[in-house]
Amino acid sequence: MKMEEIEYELFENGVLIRKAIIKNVKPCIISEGQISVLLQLDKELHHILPHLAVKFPPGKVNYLDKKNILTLSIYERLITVYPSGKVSMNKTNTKEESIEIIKEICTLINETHLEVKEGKTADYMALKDKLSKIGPLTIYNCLPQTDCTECGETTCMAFAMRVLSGESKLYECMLLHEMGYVNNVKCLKSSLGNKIMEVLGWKI
Amino acid sequence: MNSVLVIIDKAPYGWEDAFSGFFVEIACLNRQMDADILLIEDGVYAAVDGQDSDNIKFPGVGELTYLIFPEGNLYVYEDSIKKRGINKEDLMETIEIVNSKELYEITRAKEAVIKI
Amino acid sequence: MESSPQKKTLTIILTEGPYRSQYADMAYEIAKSALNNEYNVNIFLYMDATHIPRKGQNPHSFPNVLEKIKKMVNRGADIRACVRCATARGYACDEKFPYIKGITITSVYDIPDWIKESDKVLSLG
Repeated sequence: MKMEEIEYELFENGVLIRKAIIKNVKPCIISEGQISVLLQLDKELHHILPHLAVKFPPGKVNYLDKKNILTLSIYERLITVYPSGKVSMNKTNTKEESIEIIKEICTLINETHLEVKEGKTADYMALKDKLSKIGPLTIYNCLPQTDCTECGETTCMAFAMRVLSGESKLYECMLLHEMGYVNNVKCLKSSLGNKIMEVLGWKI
Repeated sequence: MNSVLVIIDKAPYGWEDAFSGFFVEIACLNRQMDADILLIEDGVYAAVDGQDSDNIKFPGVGELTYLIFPEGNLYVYEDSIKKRGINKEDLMETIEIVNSKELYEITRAKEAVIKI
Repeated sequence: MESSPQKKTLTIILTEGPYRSQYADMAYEIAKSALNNEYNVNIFLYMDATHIPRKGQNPHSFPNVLEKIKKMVNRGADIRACVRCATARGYACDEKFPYIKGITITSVYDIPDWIKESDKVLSLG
């Protein structure tokens, strides 16, 4: 017994994605009482996925190079984006919630598509390579190392780990915004580069 | 035992096995086990893209793969698809093709191996 | 003080019906041996195997599989049938319980639960 597929218009003038169809709703296998939704976007995403993969902190991303499949750990669920334009989302409460979230993701997809079209995307292979080599120490070495706890963590090392996993953002380090710590910011920029600074939550 | 490989060797829409095997996989994932599926021999037909079983009113097995992946992996044995003239492009995007060596490593890494 | 060694557990999953194939008979032999070796034995009846414990079987030339099931139940084997498969085949919702005594009808979630607690898992079919 197949459920009726429902089409939703997301963006009337979206540069790539305009519509999403909910293909399937099943009980979420890892979370009782929640659902797993399978959606189909109206365009393919082969060219977008590698660039999308480097826009999130390493802790939130699982990108399968060979298959060009991107799994994101965001919005408190696992969202898998396929080159065919299919998107699966678990730990969801309602169909409407899945549409709200797919709209956010498609905004980012459309932005990325524009960047690709205008040749403004960074070399994603180099970025990917750099991201995979960054560890908590890379970040820690540039932090004030005062363990002031204003970011909410007990130590600067703990904060560095949370930045990498995506649970904290670089701008949450209060000292980095102060005049006396300009060199720390410079250190971060030179170790990470502007693109990765942005990915890790610093507003350039 | 906390890791299991579910082997399916019969084609869907001819045998209940593929559908029931996917159910066992889903039950194992629900219990937080490390559980993967291996499609071998005629079971590889369950991995073919574009399945639409509405007309025969039997439940579709293709879309179930989106429910299983990425928490569980779906492996298809290379030899079995070659024998049957199935190409890589004919398979769903949720599938991973494995050769004999990889198959050996996967089976070795699992604590329980069952065939449905 | 010496603590007694924990009993090991064997789980067998059957998927085929009786008489056309002899997996149920094979399972009986293996289970018998395991029980003799102080194992806990679990048997899960999936798909056509849900036909195996049906009451009132009377095979003409073949050994009656029910006798073997009864023996296993009497020796403490935990035998369960999948509710989805049993219901499909007409077994679950009868007023009179369709199976011999000692069989429970449960969900497929017992498979992972059993695998977790077992030392050996065999599937026959």
